[in-house]
Amino acid sequence: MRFSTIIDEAQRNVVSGTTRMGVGFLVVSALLAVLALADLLTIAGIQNTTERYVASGSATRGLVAAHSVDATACDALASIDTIQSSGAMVSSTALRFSAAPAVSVQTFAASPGFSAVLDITDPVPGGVWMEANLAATLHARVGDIMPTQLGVIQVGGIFAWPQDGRDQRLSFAIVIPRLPSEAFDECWITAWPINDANDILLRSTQLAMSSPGEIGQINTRLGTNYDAYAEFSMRLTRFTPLGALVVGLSVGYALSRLRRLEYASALHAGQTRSAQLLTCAFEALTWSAPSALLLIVIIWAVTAAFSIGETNAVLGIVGRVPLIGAAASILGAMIGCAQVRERNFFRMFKNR
Amino acid sequence: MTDQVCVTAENLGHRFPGTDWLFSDLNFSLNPGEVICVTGPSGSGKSTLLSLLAGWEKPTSGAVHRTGVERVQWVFQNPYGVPHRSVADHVGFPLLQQGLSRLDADTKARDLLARFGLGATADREFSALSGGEAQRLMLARALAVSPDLLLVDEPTAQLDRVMAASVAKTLTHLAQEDVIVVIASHDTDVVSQASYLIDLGVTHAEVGSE
Repeated sequence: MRFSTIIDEAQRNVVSGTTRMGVGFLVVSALLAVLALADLLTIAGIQNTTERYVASGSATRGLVAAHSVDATACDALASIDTIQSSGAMVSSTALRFSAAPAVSVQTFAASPGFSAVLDITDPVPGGVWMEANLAATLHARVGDIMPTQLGVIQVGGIFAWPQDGRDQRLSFAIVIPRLPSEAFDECWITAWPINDANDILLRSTQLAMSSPGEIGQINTRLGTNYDAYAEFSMRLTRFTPLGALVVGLSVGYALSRLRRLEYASALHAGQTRSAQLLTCAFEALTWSAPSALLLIVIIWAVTAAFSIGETNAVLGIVGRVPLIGAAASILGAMIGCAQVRERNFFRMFKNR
Repeated sequence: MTDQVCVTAENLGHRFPGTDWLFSDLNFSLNPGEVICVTGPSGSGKSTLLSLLAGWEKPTSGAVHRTGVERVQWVFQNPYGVPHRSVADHVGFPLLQQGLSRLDADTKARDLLARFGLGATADREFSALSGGEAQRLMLARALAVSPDLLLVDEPTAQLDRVMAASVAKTLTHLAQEDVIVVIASHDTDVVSQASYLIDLGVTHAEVGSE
């Protein structure tokens, strides 16, 4: 049988509805979608937990060494790949705002890199950084000029510092940026993933080693050793590619078995096994490939729409489900087809 | 070489486990150009004998020797087809397997269909055929394979008298094209066209000339 004829026969079977293409497409798509979305949601969950962990300050560690932290070295740690931000700070004279002279506001001086530790984007140069609750109380916005007992200050940025277990010294506080020309008290770094080597890097910012500074986590409420990688690699849905294999094999096999009389009849009519397997594979491809394509588009769209990590990386992990499912569908259909024997034709007719 | 084609049954007997013998000690030889009719009541083993001749089942005793038989075709009592494929496609399919182009296969398929009075149904779906039309379609499809041995189970059961007589005559003509035709049937028209008869209805099966 000519190759072009094999393709033509398969096309005619598809167009005539003989292959039950719609059933195969719907069943495989639905089952694989459940598996893919289960894995996607699990990954999204880990991603959210990680983001909350980092945002809560749990991934921020600080070295406390009074008057002996090299702020320049501390700021420079942010250039290391695994360290997202770093900055030094030191306590400063409390401020009193003219609008509320009875209230003494705790104030810190910090190196320029500290704005990134506080997650302030595009701070106004020369302005101070104000904690969000304090800014709300004073009805202050970024760019506002505010009189104090030491003169006027400009609000250069507002940072959130919720009461979620983190170091509360920065709650209701002002942070004044200062050039790192003198020794600071503390160096903070936010690093992800957490690495024991980070503490060594922190210690490297201490100028005098006579009394080693203390290192601690800024927020310990969510735990001190959250291992997102372990959670990811041990997630239950890591077996979804295996599930996709089973789904694909089962659906492909079942659809082939429904047509076993037709296959036996074709063998009886002189079709070779190889031609039959090729026809079968091509027919299965017509519903499994569109299914895989559709699911990959859906996974991509969901990943992008809900910002579940890096789209390409997530697609590379979850996308295995539809791809394996599609390949297994073709394999399952071929196995079902290969099991049909011409001699079974007689038995099938007797049992009809 | 067509003169080498021959099917021989030697002391052939068969029984299913735990049952009586369906038949035993059958001895006959089938040659191209012959129409052999297998008769007997339901359950007497007509279809089983056909499956032994096809080589799809092993006899309990004796042996079937097929010499030079390359293509065996079986037309079942209940016609089977792919519901949504056309009648012409059903007959063209075996021809495509032989390497014919789609155009040539279709032309030849329509010729075969016309031979069985199905010319007007060529473009219909199989599911739209009546039982009798489907039965004739199966005969046309079997012929497309150019079989050496054609086994036909109750070919006229679903046909009216006129069509049954026509099909019986067609099967006889087939035999003249060097095909061994074995028919399991009760139909007297078919029986009358047979070269000889294998009657499984008697206590001991008999083989005799019609």
